Amino acid sequence: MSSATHQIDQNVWLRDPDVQRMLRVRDGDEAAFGELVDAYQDRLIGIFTHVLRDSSAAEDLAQEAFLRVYRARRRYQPTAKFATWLFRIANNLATNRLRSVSRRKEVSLKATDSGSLGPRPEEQLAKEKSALMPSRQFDAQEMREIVRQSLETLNDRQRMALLLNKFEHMSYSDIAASMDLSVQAIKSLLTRARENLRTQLEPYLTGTSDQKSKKK
Amino acid sequence: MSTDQSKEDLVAYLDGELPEEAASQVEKSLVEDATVRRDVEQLARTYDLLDLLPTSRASDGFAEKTLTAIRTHGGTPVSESADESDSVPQPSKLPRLAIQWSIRAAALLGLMFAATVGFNGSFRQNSEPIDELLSELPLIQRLDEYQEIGDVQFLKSLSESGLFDGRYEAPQD
Repeated sequence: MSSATHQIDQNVWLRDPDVQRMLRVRDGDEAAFGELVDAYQDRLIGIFTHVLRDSSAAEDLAQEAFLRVYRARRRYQPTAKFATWLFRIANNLATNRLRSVSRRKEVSLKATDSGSLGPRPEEQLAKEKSALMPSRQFDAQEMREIVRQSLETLNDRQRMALLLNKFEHMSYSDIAASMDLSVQAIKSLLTRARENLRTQLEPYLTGTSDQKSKKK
Repeated sequence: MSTDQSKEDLVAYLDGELPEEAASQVEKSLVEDATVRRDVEQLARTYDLLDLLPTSRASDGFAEKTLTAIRTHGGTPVSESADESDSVPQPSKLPRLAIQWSIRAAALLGLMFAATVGFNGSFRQNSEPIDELLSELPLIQRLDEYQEIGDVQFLKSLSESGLFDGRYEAPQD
């Protein structure tokens, strides 16, 4: 890439106010870093909570993500939106955490040899309850639980892509950059995720159209 | 929805990620095909249900704790130990496939180089016993005879006795 093109690319990202904040952090402005933490703490913790299903671990990882951003400040170059970079770090941290949790589970299963892990009793109960009454009206709390369980049926990558798409309103190319995948891979991941969700939630669609307005 | 491609197009259409021409194609199907309309509606409604998920918030003092952690542990830039995968995404200069194939080609070349070096080393190591065998070939060729005799000392005394060069004198009774 020529230096002129590179310059144009950088100018595009400079329009992002969070890139501007990060450049101030690079120049030693700690207050700018505080602004970034304020702007992104809930968003990061929200994503981590849905991915890890553990709010305490979510806070730990969010803090680690901010630490990594701060440590990398001196070599920061604005070559992408700030959010894309931050969620790339978040995705790496979440992937590593899930891998180590899954290894620990494997070891503990081998040690106890107690058979495969089924759903938790309360989840099983909720599923059975739901299956018995597919057409009845669900209150917001029940429906929230059903949606949460449906999200958990997605694999880790589908879930992460879907969460970035839904709650961060990220474009396919930004999600691709955050997850280090191609745009086509993201398109396929999101399609499978949405199809899976549809299969899970379709039986509950009748009578749920006003759930969101109730919630709001 | 009939094919994976059309499923992907429907989802991309809902996300506003479809190029204009493909989007027009989907819109045409929506007008003409009730099944496609039903699929799109269900995909959209189930996606909207995600809004019901509880929202998480940082606990009180999270920002302060984070800034304190940074003052305590975060002062050192990690230019050396930084995880490369955490670097800011770069606008791609080469298509992804080209990068992957370059890596594979480099790996293959590396493998071939390692195999060549390994073969040479192993050949050199194996050639040493061959040299040794060659130098001892005369011995090996007459090994059966030597084994029949069984004792080198006996051969030496036989040679010194002069039996084979006419110096031998039979003992007088």
